[in-house]
Amino acid sequence: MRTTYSTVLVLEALSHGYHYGFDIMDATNLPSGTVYPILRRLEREDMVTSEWEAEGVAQTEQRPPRRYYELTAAGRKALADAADRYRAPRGARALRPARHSRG
Amino acid sequence: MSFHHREPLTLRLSLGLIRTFRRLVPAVIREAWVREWEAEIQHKWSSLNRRQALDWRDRADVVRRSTGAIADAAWLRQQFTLDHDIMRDVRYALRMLHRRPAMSALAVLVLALGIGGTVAVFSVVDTLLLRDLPYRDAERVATIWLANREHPDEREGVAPGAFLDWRSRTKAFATIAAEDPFTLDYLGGAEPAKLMGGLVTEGFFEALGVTPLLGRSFRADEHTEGRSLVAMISYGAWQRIFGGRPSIVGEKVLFNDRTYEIIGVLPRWFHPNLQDLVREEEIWAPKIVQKFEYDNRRIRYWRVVARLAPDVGLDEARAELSTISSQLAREYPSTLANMTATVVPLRDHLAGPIHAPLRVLFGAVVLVLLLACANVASLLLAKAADRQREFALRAAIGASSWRLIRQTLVESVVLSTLACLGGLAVAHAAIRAFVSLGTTTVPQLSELTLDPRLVAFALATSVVSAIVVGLWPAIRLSRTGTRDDLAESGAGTTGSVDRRRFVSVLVVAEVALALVLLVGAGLLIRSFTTLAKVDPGFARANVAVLQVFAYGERYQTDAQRMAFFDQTRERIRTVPGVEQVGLVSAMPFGAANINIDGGIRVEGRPEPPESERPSTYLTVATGDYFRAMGIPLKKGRLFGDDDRPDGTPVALVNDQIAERLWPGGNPVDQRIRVNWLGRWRTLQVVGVVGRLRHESLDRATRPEVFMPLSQVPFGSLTYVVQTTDDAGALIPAIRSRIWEIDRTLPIYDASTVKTLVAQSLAPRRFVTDLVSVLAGLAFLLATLGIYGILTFATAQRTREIGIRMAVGGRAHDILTLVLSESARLIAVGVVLGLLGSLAAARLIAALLYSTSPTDPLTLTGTAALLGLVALVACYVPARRATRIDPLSALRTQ
Repeated sequence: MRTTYSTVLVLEALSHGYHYGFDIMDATNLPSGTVYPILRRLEREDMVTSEWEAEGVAQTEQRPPRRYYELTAAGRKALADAADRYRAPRGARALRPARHSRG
Repeated sequence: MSFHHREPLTLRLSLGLIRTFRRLVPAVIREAWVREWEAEIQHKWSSLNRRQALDWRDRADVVRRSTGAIADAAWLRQQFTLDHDIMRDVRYALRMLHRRPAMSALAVLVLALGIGGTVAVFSVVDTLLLRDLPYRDAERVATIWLANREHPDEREGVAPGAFLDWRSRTKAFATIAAEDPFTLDYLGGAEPAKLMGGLVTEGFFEALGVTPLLGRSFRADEHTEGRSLVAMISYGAWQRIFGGRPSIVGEKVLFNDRTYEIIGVLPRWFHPNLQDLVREEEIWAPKIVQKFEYDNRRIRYWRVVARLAPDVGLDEARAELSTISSQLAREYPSTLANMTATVVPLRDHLAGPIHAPLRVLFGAVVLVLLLACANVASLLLAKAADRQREFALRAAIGASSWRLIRQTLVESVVLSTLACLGGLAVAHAAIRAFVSLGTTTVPQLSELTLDPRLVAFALATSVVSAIVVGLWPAIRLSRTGTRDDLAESGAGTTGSVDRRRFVSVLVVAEVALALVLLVGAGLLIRSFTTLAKVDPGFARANVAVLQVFAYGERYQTDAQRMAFFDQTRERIRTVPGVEQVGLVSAMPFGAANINIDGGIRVEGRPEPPESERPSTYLTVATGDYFRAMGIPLKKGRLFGDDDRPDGTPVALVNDQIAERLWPGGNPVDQRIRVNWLGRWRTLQVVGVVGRLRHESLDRATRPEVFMPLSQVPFGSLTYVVQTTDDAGALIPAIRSRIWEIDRTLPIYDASTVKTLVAQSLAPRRFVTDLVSVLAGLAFLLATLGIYGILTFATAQRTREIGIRMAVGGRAHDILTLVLSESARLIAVGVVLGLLGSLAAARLIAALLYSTSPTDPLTLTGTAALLGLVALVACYVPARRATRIDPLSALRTQ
């Protein structure tokens, strides 16, 4: 699979605890039209798994449950390989661990 | 998550995008896809909301994020169907747009204006004409009015006797009911309030098809004498006066000096607007028909609604009422001789004065949309020409022409999707403007909102315009797959015949479309200014008017009433800046006019046959009324202090009735007899005054006889106060002087004469302003469009012009060549535009006041203006062509 710069940014964001599509957008500064196809591809390659957040949280906010994404072992490895290749990508430095993990 | 109506626009837009594009997503994962996107958007929205007040950047951010769903959906589709092309087309289209930001922004802006305008006006059409009315089986409900056979459009209220005759004779209507205008004063609030409303006969709400929101409507037995008083109130009155408390039903409320039990509250949407009042009906009570009302066929003040009987059509009902009217005219020639019944369907009645203009407005907006499409098409064409080589190359390496057409179409779909978003923003702003402009004209406009149906309409509009805009360039380009194009790349010679034809069609279309709109706006403006200049018969500057109804406990006798009016008049005179204080029973342009008419005879003349007996409006006034209003005295004198209650009864006649009864003679000192509320009175004419317009400037003046208040006591009067300065500013002071005498008397409709006249013009102004704005927009679009496309066309001919100059052509010749070709196109456009205007003449004629829809001055004036500006737009590129350096032109490939 291609690990483009954008893909690395998304992997990086996931490893820093950003689990939701829009949060990953904010963390990576990538448009949503880029983030989602990357997530879908990563999921197909088994680098990422996804699940729905607990119903209770969604109900208190009166919206459908959000879908959260998590790195798999393969994903972590891909990130490590890519990080070697890209040598600390610029965007990744700006990433801080997310305040909340899954809901 | 559902698509709530009350969600804010941004959220609705974002969720609407998801809904729209979910179709792209393969069905097996569609539901999960929608849920994921909706959850993200809603989460983002609520967390933004929780943190801060949203500004436009936050809103734009939410919408921008949701647009990512399009790419996501396209990506997923591609994964499932292996249809890489669509995705690539979309991405390619975005790249192309991005590469020319100025051009793309211009194209999006132009289309957004066109789409936004269309959606906004469509929302008005939708609210007033298309949407189901909340009344039950609304298409079977009609309002019925009396009208003179000669002026069937000038509908009036219905005389009680005529209504009762109709009710006993009709079979076409299942229910027919009347509303007798009345008012109640509520003194429980901070200031005395007057509630307008009606006493309604049996079945009134049943005929309209409305069920109360709370409580019930009137029972049959409540329409009989001796029952305790009950009333129903409007939603507005419930909220405003009673704070919207649900316990209102069953409460006993003191109005005037009597206690009414509130038995029902009507739904919020209920605005029957039967009384043509600026303020609407707020309270209803059961009507108990009195004996004298059966015989009153003269005073036309009741309002009638009816519901068709099953299986009876509107036309049959009209025919039946017409027959009944003819019978009544024979039976009661003195009162109903020339009268007929006009049946107005409820929907038309509710759309009110802008019912007819709506079609014109909609037509105007469609023209603007077409112009916007023409402009964008020319932009795309210019762009396409640049890419001819690219397309030729793609065709050469095997792209099918369908493939190339699709590429171009996808580009215009992307363009118009962006324009659609902009258009919704434009529509949102325009709808807000409509609501604030139009609510006084048409109460129903307050229900105007941008709802999902309109979003759907906007999407449909943009898809259609995408096809209109994109198809021609697409087909054009797809035909370029020949070796010649590859070799030439288009920019070299005179340009292909096909492309030049397209340029010509665009220029002609832009001129023609813009001209139709300009002529329409020109006619409306001309009609409006003509109407605004019509002399109403009075000087309208600096006059305040305040209406009171001196009835009830404190005003049992004429003497009590007269004392009240004398005292208040004295008090009002003490307000600094007040010059004259008059009183009148029928105030021109007043909202709650008391119009009374009756027969008139000249004493000593033989009685004419019954059907030819003249009648006149009868008005009670003081002498100061004429001075305050600036109504000219033509002969004799005005009313004065000498006209005592016990003196000779006197009258003033206006010159209209004077001309009719004493052609060429002098009515002063003549004696006339008038039928005042059923009794004949003999009056001596002491003067002749000018004639007035009463309802609106476009209605004819009327015959009028005035009697002095001192001799004809009256309770429902309007103070007419002339002031030295701004009359409106003195209204509070005048009002408080009246309340010094009677603190419990509500004052109805305090206003100025200027405002009243302006209000009567408001519907026309609304339409004229809107069409003018649209025409201005069209003018701008056309000028820019012509300039743009001719610049492009001239640039395409650089090489040709270079050759002409190289072989000795002078700058002057080139200028003439280029200009004369453009001039020919503009001339064709002007001719087509004029033909289009003539075709539209019938549509617009109904909106014009004493202006012909083919008014030569307007037609030639606008044609000349547009032609000139278009020529200037041509001149600039033509001029540029003359500066072409032949050598470098020949070098351009």
